[in-house]
Amino acid sequence: MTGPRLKRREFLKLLGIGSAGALTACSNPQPEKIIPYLVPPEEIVPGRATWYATLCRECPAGCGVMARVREGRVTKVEGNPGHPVNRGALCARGQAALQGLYHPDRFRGPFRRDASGALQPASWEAAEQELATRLAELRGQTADGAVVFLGSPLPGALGQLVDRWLSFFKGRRLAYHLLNDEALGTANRLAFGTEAIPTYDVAAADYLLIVGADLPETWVSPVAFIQALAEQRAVRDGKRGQVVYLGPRLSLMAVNADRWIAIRPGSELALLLALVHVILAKGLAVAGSREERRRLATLVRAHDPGATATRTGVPAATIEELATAFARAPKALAIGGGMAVASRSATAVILAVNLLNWITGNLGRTVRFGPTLRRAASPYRDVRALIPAMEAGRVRALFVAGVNPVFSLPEGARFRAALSRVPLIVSFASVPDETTAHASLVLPDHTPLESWGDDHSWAGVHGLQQPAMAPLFGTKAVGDLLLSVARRMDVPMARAFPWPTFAEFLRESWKAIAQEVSPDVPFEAFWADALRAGGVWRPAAAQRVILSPRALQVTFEEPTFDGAGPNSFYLHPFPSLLHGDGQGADRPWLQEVPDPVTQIVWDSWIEIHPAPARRLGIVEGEVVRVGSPYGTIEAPAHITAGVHPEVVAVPMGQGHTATGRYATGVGINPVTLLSPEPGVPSGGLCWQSVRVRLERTGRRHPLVSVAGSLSQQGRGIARTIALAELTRGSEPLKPEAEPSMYPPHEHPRQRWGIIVDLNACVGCSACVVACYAENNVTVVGKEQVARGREMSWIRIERYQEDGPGGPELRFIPMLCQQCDNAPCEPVCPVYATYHTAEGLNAQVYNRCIGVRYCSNNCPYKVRRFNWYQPVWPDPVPLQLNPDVTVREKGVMEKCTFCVQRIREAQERARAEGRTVRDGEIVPACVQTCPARALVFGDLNDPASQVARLARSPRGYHVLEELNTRPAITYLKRVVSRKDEAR
Amino acid sequence: MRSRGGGGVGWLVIAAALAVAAAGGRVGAQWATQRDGPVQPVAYSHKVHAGDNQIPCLFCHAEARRSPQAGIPSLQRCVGCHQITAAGRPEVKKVLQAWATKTPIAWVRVHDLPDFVYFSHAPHVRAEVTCQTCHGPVETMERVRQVATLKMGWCLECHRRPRVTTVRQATASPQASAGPQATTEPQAPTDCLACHK
Repeated sequence: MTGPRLKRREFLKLLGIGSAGALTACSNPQPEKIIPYLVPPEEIVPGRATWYATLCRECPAGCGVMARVREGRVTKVEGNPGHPVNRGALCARGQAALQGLYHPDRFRGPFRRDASGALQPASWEAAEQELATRLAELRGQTADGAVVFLGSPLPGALGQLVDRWLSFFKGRRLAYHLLNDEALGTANRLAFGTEAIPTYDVAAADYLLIVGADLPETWVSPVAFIQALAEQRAVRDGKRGQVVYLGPRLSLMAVNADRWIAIRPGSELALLLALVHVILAKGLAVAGSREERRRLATLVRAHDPGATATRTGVPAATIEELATAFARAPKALAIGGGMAVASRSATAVILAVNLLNWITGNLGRTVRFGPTLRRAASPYRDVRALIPAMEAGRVRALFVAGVNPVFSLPEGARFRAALSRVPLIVSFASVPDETTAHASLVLPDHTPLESWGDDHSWAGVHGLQQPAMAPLFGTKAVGDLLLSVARRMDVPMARAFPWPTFAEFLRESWKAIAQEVSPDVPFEAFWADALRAGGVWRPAAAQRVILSPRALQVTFEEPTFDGAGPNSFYLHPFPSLLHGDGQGADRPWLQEVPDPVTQIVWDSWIEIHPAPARRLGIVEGEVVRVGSPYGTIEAPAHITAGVHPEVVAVPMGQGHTATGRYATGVGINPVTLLSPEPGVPSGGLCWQSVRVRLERTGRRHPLVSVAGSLSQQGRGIARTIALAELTRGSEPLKPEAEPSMYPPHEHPRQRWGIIVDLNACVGCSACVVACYAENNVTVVGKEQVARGREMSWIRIERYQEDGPGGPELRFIPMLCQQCDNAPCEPVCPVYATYHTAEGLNAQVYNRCIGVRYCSNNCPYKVRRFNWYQPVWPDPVPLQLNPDVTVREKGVMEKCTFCVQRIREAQERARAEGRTVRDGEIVPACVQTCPARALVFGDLNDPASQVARLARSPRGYHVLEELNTRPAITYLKRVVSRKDEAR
Repeated sequence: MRSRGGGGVGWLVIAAALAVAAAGGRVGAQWATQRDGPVQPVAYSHKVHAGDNQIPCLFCHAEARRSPQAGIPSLQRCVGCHQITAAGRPEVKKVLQAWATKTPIAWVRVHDLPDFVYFSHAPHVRAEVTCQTCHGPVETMERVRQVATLKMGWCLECHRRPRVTTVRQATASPQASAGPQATTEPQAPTDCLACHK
């Protein structure tokens, strides 16, 4: 028998390892320095957050946000509760605005292109002087339009300043927004004599017919629409609104409709005219004179249901049923728009929608003018017309601000080539993109959270944008730059711009608003109030519109498609919920958060229906070549029944070739495939105008999806209830579950809980991004997600059920259930996870040794393990929430119900000598939810909103049979048909 | 048998060596600061300010009342007095020089907690825990040093003490005359999540 024997060499080896470990692991780090303020700023208490009201600029919706600032840096943005557009909520893209601010690839200062063609850093002084010198040459001899400012819509003072500045060069400004809905304005002008977008009263509509428009994703004002959709779905007096969606693809809007009618692009016009036909034929029309109805009947004569059924593939019975239901509904609303209907007949489609609303008497009821939205964008046609001018050498200087035309214009428009004929290209981009790659001067703008600005798009709403923090890098606001350059020009020009800063100009321009809104208040007080509130608003007066006689003189023509031929598919590029027109692609949160419908991350894909896929032999993940007459793209196929069989759908926003590190080389850009010719008469880009051929490449490119399974495997995770069953007063929540071997937990004061109303949730994923931002959750990248190592504390799970009209998707937000009988707790060998007196399953990071037993034992799979040391490239660490521990390699983490917010509220309450009020604590996910589907509170307080909702007949717990007794109660989604409920 | 015993001794030696190495690495560095505290860029004396001149702690560390951080006074606050008071002293001149050149003074942190600990001054000040309870007799120190270990066990020692209902708190209740009442409840939270978030 020999015991453990230690040789001398081994002994020394071990000793060496031991002391090396002691030296590296345990020696004290360098002493930290504390640097106090010279003069303490009045509004800042170190260690406490300060909130500034400003505007979100991630899309043109103009939502108000509150920026949370700690020690001079923004750590989070949230919806401004007082702002009338978004009323406190914010979407995923709005939440990710932070990652634009702290993008590691941001320009640190100006750059100029040297003789060799490379961008070299320059000083502002040198860059501005160069710009002024080159502009001075243009100042005298300029012909009209030699100086062009191609920018995002600038709906406020900045637009005015740019226009004034350009007037000195006889220049012109083009406001370009890729997702602009030109046809909507044109059709409204034809029908009602105004280009404005009306207020759609979605919330009040009993019957909502949506044609194409992706309300919860990118169309017009997604946050406001999600709120309205949730209200519309809610059960009131035993009734709830119906939603029917017409479109080529099972989009997020389609998922949230009661019924999705799959149509191929271009057939929506015939279908809408058939609805009008039926309504007139059945005598259900209520508006218009007899003469007007007769005219309309003549217009739609050819569109009887029978003929339309053959043309569109939608059965005549369905057409009759839709028309009747729409006309008979007390309050019906048809909404048309978006990329899905932007064929060559886009204007006609929306005109038909307008006629449908008008003839059923819903104009002025669910479609209201007065509180309208005016888009300050130029039609695509104008941008397109710029290209020949550039090619002809007539454009001598091109300024590019907030847009990326090289990426977003169709390849066929030859914008990239035309750039080589422009001698001076100035880009104001803050991050490199495809356009800055051609710029002669890059003069980086501040990001929106560092900038002044305003927005007056909605009638009566004046949003004010103020910098929430000092500029992070050596950037300069576009307005300040223009003023500074003006001062370097000749005397008349310098004199015309007396404002020292753009902020002064903005303030000056608000004096007119103050005069108009509150003439009796001194301007200083008005300005202070506007800054505090994030703007001023008052209800816009209703405006009566009547149908223009011109609307009944049109001829409706079927749209044409390029590239028709046997075996060709309709191409349907659709704007991505997360990446929008491509601006949101370079935000790692938005890449890592899965697209809710497909659950795919970090990629582009081509959606193909299973039937043609089988015919062509294409399998999931196979790279397919998609060719149109204008271009070719290659991307992996995603086989799904959620697309019309004659259509291939491709998400937009990806396919960057030269931008920041997160989006470059990810996916493809379907805009390449489009016809560059603008539509008539709208002047918009024709998104649905080409047919494409598919070719197999035989290569594989596996798509990474976070979904384990499409099926719920009969476990009833995301449940529904039929409206009839609910109104009958069906079974209440089951009595408290089975007995447990463990003694019950006591919650002497509070037990925190969340209610998730599945009837409201649309799956928009805003909560997921908000959680990433609030809790310093790391992004791990595509490879790690493929291994199931994503770190999200809350996710949107998606399941598919077979409905009568095809596949039906259900979403359910899944986060830690904070179980009372938590399976994770008893298996932890080091007591790193335990039950708190307030009912939370706490995770103590400094105790965790990373055995992962808890994660293995969690039936909800909501615990996340740090496999690697998280990487936070500079300046990302500045964004981290200082109230939440930054976890490291080898540590388990999970949802905490935002315990830092709970503690903060409790401490505040104690300091004020009171208890915490119901609704005072709002975790990040609850705060941002546009649908108000999440409610947080104390389950122990019977009067609290959560306790009340937990008793709802719709309430249930996920995986109830495991007797985990979760603190989260889900409320079943209400469906209209009994067979759909399960 | 002999070889077996030898092996055991070997392991013991390793364990001891590791323990010494570990302890030396950690405690050695702390002793240095604990004996006399780190050298600061300005030889500021708490003894002169808080001791001899009786300036209340919260006069300078004003944030402690309302924030997790006690805060280091801004240079403006120093200069507020020292523009006139003792303006000729060499150390004060350093301060006035910094003010003139608008250069903040980079003080060396004495009390530092690990990054996974969330300590807040405000509730402690509100609970009338004296500054000296954790920071020691700062008013006697020429150079501030760490007195308490600031380790979790040390924090909990105080947190775990039973709550005493003081006369002041109880005056509203009918048993006001009963005097201090001891309860079984700890006087401050002992939940992990109170300090680890």
